[in-house]
Amino acid sequence: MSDSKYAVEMRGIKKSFGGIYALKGIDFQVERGTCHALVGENGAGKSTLMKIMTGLVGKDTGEIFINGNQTEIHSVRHAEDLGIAIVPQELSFVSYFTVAENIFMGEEPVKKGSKLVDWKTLFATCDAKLKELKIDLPSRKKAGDLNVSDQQMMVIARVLAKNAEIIIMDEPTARLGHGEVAKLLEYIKYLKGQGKTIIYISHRLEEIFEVCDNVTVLRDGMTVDTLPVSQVDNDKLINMMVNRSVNVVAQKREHNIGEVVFSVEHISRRNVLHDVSFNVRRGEIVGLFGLVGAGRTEAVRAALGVDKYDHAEIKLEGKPVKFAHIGQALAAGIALVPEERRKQGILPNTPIYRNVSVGNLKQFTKLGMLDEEAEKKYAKDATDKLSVACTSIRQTVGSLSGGNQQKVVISKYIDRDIKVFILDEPTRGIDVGAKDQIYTIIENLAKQGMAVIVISSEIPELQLMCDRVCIMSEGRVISEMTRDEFIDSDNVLKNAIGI
Amino acid sequence: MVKSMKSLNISKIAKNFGTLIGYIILLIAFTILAPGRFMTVSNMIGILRQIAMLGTISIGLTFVMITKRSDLSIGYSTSFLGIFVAALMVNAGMNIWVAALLTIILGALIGLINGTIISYLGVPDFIGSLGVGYVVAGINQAYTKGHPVSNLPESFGIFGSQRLFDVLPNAVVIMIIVLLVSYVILRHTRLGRYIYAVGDNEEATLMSGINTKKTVVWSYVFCGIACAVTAIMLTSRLGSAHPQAAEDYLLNAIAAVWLGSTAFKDGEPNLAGTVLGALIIGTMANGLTIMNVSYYYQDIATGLIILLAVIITSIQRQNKK
Repeated sequence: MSDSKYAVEMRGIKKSFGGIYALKGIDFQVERGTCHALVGENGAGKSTLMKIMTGLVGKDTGEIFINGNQTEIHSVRHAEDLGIAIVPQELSFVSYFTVAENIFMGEEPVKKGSKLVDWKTLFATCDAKLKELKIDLPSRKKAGDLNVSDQQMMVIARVLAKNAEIIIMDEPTARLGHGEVAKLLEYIKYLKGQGKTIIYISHRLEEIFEVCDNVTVLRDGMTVDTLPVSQVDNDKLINMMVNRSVNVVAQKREHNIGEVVFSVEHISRRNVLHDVSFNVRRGEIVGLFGLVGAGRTEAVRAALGVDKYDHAEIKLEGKPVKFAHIGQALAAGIALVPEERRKQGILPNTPIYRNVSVGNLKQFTKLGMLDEEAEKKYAKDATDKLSVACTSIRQTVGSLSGGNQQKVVISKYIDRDIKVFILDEPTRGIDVGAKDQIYTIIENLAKQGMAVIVISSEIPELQLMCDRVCIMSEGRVISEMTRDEFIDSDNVLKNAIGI
Repeated sequence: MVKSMKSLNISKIAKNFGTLIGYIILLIAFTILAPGRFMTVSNMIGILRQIAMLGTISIGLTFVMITKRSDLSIGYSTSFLGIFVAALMVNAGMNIWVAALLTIILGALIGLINGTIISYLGVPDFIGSLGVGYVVAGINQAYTKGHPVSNLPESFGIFGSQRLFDVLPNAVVIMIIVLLVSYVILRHTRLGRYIYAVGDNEEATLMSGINTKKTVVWSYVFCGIACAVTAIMLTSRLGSAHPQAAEDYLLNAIAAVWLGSTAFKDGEPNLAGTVLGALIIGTMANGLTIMNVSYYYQDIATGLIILLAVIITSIQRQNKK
């Protein structure tokens, strides 16, 4: 081991996916034996950086030093050998295995001269290890029967049992209660005392002030700054995280806002949505802001019949409606551009024109047969309107860039009888130039008199587009702001995370 | 640039037409190895007649496999439908056309049950269709006690053993009709589009407002109808109905559709490919029989050919990623 004071040093890390830069030159240094916070908005590049560090994806350019030695991290196995491990946000373990099996998976002790697991030794080793790590867990219990907090400790124990020295914790408190959070933070302090290095990713800033020594802020794939936690406060961190360079206030708005077209009142679903209400007017763009899991997507999906709800009063143009499935919502004139484009939006191996027309084929059917020429013309018009960049509408959608894929998804609804347009994270994973085009498209929808709802966790884009924003957290609407209030508010993020 | 375009086209041709080229090589090989016996008009028509049933049932299975599902009941269903059509004529004295029509309706019904269990009740396709297959096979055994139904009316031979203009076997004509109808459904109707859309991305299709469950049920109904048509042809050809006459068809049909998905459409099941797949299987059997290769070795050879085609496709697909 060299005498570098840094456990991890990353210099000029760049990474692109399909031509879109996720990381545009990150510098990241973590001192050994410290807890180092990594913060930034969704899409700032935290996950990608951690994937590079744990060997899940390779970097394009840049240098990585582990304990002062320059290294290329080739694989997850290689990262483990270097002592790097992650406790992911979505814990992965086998729920019908015991705690001991999960902790020693792949390294179970076997009986001499056989391949049979030596259960006695396994549990004894596990108990000893847990005692050494000062983690109190029942080694013989099934992992699925533990509560979330204990499951997390089990995953931490697994990482430590593999002698990890650099431990990444990705939103470790996202699903913990207050008492459990305190317990976890205590344990992190203990690990620090043992000389371990922790990289701590969290949206909850107050935890960072409690347990971290230094903080690095990322924004749009770049390092904003690295500072000792003692030199920052809440407001300063938020200002560093949120990109205010967009000249939003200067934008002149000419929305011709009319009567309420679509309203969702008191929609509730056990454990997910608690009495959520929002509405949107003709020609208006309403934002639903919040972090992932705040209930924005869930509220819209339930209202449109994709998921179930326990109670709700939904009105379209003043008339009560209830949609059994999303086809009915579409037929009534409500379009949803879903959150996960690849999974829910596109038919990747199908030509562009068949993607555009798939939900609208009745229009091109004569005597049961498709009129493919009319269909192609329709698709050509719709994709031209949104200037989808493609060589031919016969090209498969999977071969397009993210921005153009999103335009194809939007074009499915552009020439239909749509009154309400709902777009869920419309610019996620799309590069900056294409983002602007999507904003213009959404702006034009409103200008044409459609009622538009945009779900997003990016403040600048909502500031840019919206006339009104509902802020959601933990399944509730906690605040509703006008455009000016939202632009002025420095407290938006605080509101969203409930500080 | 020009050069890379060219090599791209060559690899594309190899990918889309490799299996077809392989089949042509197979034909040439048998022509050389069995001179004067393999490449004759009557033997070629014989191969077509041999694969008419396999082709038809495989076309039905193609509908299901496009949606990325399978139907393990087809062998049992086809055996039972053969018994059914024979019993209607022999034991109930029905007219051959009425009996055939009722059989097709029953085939559609079996498909409907399969599709409903798998799509609406959410049972995994393998176990759902296997369960239906067991029940159908059980009814078959209980009714026949394992004995064939024979003494079919001579006129029933129209569906299998007779020839159009004394040249083309009627079974081949029927397969071609099934192929054309299937082509029109898959290529030129909304339902066909939906079936392909479900196979490409089921959730995105649902989010586009399409009733994906109904689409899946329809694909099983088409498969059931194809089983019924196959059963009628088979019973007509054999002149009697055997309780287990069609059980081999399950594996052969899966092989034909898989082989077919290696041709023409980049790894997706498709009709032309399925017919090619059935042709390859039928030609192997025919050619090896002509060369007096014993039945046991024939299976080994067919198995190796199938593996070869699928391995090549899998390697191509991995390289694409």
